[in-house]
Amino acid sequence: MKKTSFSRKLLYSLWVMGVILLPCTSMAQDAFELKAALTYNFAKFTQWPESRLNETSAWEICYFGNQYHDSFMGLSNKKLATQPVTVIQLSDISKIEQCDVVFIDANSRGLTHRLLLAVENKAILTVSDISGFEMQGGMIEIVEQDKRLYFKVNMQVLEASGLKISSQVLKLALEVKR
Amino acid sequence: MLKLNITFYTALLGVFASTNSIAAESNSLDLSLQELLNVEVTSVSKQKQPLSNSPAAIYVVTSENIHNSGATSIPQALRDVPGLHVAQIDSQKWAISSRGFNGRYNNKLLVLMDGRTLYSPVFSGVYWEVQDTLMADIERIEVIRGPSAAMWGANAVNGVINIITKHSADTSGGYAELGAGDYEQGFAGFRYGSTLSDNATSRMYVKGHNKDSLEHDQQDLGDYLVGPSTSVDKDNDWTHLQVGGRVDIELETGTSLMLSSDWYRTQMQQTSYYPTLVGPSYLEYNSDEVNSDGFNLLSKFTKALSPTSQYSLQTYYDYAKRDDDWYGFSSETLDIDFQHQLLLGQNHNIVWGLGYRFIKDDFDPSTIIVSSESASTRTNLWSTFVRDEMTLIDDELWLTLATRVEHFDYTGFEIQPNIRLMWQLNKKNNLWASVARAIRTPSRVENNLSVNAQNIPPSVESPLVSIWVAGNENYQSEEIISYELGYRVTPAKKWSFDSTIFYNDYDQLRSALNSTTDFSTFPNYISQYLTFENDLKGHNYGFEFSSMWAATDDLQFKLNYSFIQNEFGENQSQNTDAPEHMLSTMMDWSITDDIDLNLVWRFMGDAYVINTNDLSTKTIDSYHGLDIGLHWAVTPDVLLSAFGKNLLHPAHLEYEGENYQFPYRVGPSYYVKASLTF
Repeated sequence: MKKTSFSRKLLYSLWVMGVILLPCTSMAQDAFELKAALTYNFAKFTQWPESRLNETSAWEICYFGNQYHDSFMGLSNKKLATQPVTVIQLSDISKIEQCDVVFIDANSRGLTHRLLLAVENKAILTVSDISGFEMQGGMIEIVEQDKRLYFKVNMQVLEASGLKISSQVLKLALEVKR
Repeated sequence: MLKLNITFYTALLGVFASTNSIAAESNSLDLSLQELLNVEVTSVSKQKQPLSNSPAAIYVVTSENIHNSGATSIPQALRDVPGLHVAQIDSQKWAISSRGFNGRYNNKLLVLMDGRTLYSPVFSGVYWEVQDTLMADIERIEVIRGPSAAMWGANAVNGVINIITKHSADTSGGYAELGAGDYEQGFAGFRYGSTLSDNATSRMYVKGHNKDSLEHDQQDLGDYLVGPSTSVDKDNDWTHLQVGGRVDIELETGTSLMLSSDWYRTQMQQTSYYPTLVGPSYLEYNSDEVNSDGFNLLSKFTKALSPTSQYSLQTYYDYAKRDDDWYGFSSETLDIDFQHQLLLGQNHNIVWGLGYRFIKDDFDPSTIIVSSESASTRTNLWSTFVRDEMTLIDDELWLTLATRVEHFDYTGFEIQPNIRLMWQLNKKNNLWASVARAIRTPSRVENNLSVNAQNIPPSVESPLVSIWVAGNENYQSEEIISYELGYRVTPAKKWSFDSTIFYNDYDQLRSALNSTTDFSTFPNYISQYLTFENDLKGHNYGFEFSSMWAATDDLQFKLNYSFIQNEFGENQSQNTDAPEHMLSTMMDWSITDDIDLNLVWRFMGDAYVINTNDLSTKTIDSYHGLDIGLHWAVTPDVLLSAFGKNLLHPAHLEYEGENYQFPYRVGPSYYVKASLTF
């Protein structure tokens, strides 16, 4: 009995140490979290049309991909300008027009044909980690290289849809298609 | 002591669990854009594997699984998929099946690569040795157990294997790999992907390998074969060379075109024995070189018409040629496939399609396989299908109705309907059920070829009897009606379970029970013809289970198990009973940022194969084995790997090929590999 309680104490200390020490060993982060955070930042540095800013409804950030559920839910207590953010998980294109921002993950490549047609010339910011997304007609493509995230911007598509993105953001881009 | 252990592990779990929760809480949302771009990403290549959400028994082999296992061929990548019986026959040949009926010429499994069927229309089945691509270019392999003919077409009786290669935008830059070992005597692969223009990406690859013979043990032969076979060479080594490429073009918003092509040449040593009219054994032993080559060209045009409507038009040409010792064969296939997806209202997701396939073949007969038709035959297959996935209750209940109508030259019209229901009880629990009918169309061998199966030496009572299995132009399709029930549960974020039970009712299965005798060559010998008919029936049932536990982001465990019980009576003349029990456990562990360890331990129960010489049943003993993969990322671009396969168990039979083939043993093997990205 005594032995058990000693070992319990020992293990408890180990556990506590583990909790404290392990997370400190690396500054690395889950790619899912980072992509959600990037998407939010892109939205923040976008100049939205006056008409959208005058609306009082919440900002709708939509995403595809079940595995991004937790990462995007973290955005739901954020704000853009003065309005709160609402996060919506989508599984098909039919409800896309209500969104202000759409993130589509690499597993949903098959949906991009209809998605890009649905948002064409609309003030909806499209972000994805699908390779070639910017080439397909998406606005911002997140790229993974050497354990870092980078992004490419397609200005032609942004301009056609009436969105502008801050020059601060463009400076950080890996590539800007004009 | 036991208690201590339990507490210790619980504490260890606590440590693992806490790492996760802390990582999740530290908020990257508060970082600036600049800061976000400076954070190192932990799980660059890792894709979390959420359970499938479709009402079918689906298992996905991801590119990461393939990378971890170091699989150098597609069959190797399919080992350990629950419900699949994957067995190596010799260096090149494999028998792969889902839910029983295994065989080198397994005719109840449909295999596709990027929409191109790999199922051979001649002998049925898949020549796995010539189905290849650069393993690093495979995005995923979807394995659907059970019939899904309504979506995929005839011969998707016991399952569909869908090999999907990466989009060329996902393979930009250079990749090279080089490896060698004992069985893997040497392999090399090279790929280069580039951006062709503003709207097009491409890749080219070349790969080749040399694999050693598997060992042959005389103990595995029947007594009557041992003596005369000692003088024949048992080599079964294998050389393969393949080149190919793919181009993806974005034509305009929502419209794309994909073109791909592959060419291969393969050389295999093969030892066979077959019946002759010459005594004393009336068997001839031969070692020869089999040559096979092939070419394919595929195009797929996809266009979105509106946000709720999209179609695709796929066309391909496939050429395959094989020069075997006992027959020669070439086929040309032209396939056109149109599909249209349409969302009607909020509740109907409809896909319908039309397809046409033309096959021209050329058969080169031998003394043991002859054709009653002309050497070259042409067949046409027309098909149409429709599937409606209906949402009955939002986010809770779905009903899928599907059916396919096909017209095939040999058998006429066939209807293959399917009904599926899925009920999402809550976020964690998901139930589905399916009833489906599927058919297996006859191959050329069953329609108009005759195969000399065996010669019975003359005796006092009888002259030499030459036994032939003969094709029958009235031979019909085999039929299955399958009932499935699936349950998926995710009790906690890091745990998932997927299970299926099934009952399959087979009818019109192949039989060869009735014979006619030809006395025209008496007294030299007489010929007995066993004609293919559809007189057998039977059923099987089973249970499949797979589970995953992500202990931490760096440590994952998997357990796959399947059970099957076959009830085909005693007259089963065509196929193999799969092992009743198949089990595999896997561990994927990222020990440090640069070192990964992957372990697989598997157990395969006894399997039963039909001895084609006397139609007796032969037991392939159960075996187990351990695979080890160790990966070291020397730099982000250079990876060194070492693999051990089939360890802990001496060389053993995994399977014995039907008709004329020698048995070979699979034993432990090792290889190392270096891969470079640039």
